[in-house]
Order: sequence, then structure tokens, then C-alpha cells
Amino acid sequence: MPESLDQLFRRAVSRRFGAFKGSITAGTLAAIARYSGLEPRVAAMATDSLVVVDAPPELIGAVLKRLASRGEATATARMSRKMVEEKIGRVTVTYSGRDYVEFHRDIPDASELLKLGAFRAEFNGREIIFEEDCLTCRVSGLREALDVVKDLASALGVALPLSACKRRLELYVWDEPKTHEVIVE
Amino acid sequence: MTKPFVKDAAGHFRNLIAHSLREHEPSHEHILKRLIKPLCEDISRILDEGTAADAKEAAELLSKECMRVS
Repeated sequence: MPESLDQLFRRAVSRRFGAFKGSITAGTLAAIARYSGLEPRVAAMATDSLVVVDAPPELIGAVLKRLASRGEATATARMSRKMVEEKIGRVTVTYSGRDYVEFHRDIPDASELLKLGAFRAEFNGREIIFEEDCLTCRVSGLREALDVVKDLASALGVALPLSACKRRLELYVWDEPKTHEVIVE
Repeated sequence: MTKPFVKDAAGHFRNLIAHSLREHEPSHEHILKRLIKPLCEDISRILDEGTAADAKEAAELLSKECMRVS
């Protein structure tokens, strides 16, 4: 929540209920932020088949590096071959259409493909879909998905109750107010 | 052999479903820009560049994703 909104809220509450700065907990502010629809900085979900991460590029890059190391990627991008090659270098085209291309390329890790801005790739048998700041990646089971989200969480200083998770885990991290929420199923 | 844009459509549809399962819904802008618009482009491409068999295969792949959440 922006500082100005926080102050307005506190003022309104203090008039009505006599609450002062410090009497509204960070948890209450986080709840207000959530229910007012404030977008989290990071949202991640782990299931037995997918990892979904909506996050800034540096965090997405780290997730991709972990998930897909050196190998040959088959990827599609909604742009011409020329534009693809300007961004990531020479590729071997296997299909091309109107502002659309499918190509092969040997890459050090899948984060290389982030330069495209949006793509769908098959990399070492794994499907990865990326749109701007939204990454979805197939995994081979819940354990693998949880490991990915655990690494992401530790980079953000958040500890996860992994042993309690049997089906799905969701992590949301807000910057303003600085708070997070973990939902475990 | 499944055409790449047919696989794209299935992937983007799966992505849309995955986001709908989240406890905190993404913003309308996120849904439109990252999930719906890519899928719309895939559907256009299937109509423009695909065959009737591609369209059928795309519908079958989307239907498989529907079955996972039904």
C-alpha cells in the first residue's frame, strides 16, 4: 500500500475508532492491500504438473536457469526470423508463418530465450511458456515444483512450510506493504 | 505431426486454466495481455495457416485440458 494511502487509512480509522499509528498491524494492512486488489510483486504456484511464476525478469531468469540447463530448445515466437536472430543470434528455422517462427537453437540455459519477450519452448522434454513477466513451466512432479518455488522464496527471504504441502502451494509477495502470504493445500 | 501453433494454443489455454486456479486472481490486465491475447493469436493462426485437421487437433488438445479441471 502506498504511504499516502496508508496515512489516509490510519487517519480515517483513528477518527472513527481512536486507533493510532502502530495499532494497525502489518497483517491488517496486508489484508487491506490484498482485498483492495493490490497486485503482488511475485506470485508463484506449484502443482504436480506445473510451476507458474509471475515476477520481475531477474527472478524469472533465476527460475529458468534452475529448470533448464544447457541443451537444444525448440521454440516458437510471434515475430519474424530476422527479429528472433537480432535478439538471440542465429537459429535453425523449422516453421515460419506471418510474424511467427518455430526454430531450434542450442542454448546455455532457457533464460537466454527471455530476450524474446514472449515464447513457448520445449527444452530437454520440458514445456516452458513465457509472456512478459509470466512464466509457466511443466514439471515432473510436486516435489520438483516445490523445490523451484522454495528457491524463489529463499531469494526473497521467505520460508515455506513445504512438509505440509500435499497438492498445491501458492506464494504471494507484496512490496508495499512488505508482506507475503503462503497458501498450502 | 502437431503443428507448432496448435501446440501454442494448447499451452496458452493450459496457462489460462492454471491462473484461474490461483487463490489471488491476477489483474484484468494480466489476464488479457499475458493469457487471452496470446491464445487469440493462436486461434487466428490456426484459422489462417492451419488445415481442418489442425483445427480439429487444436480442439481436441483444448478439450483434454478442459477434462483436467472438470
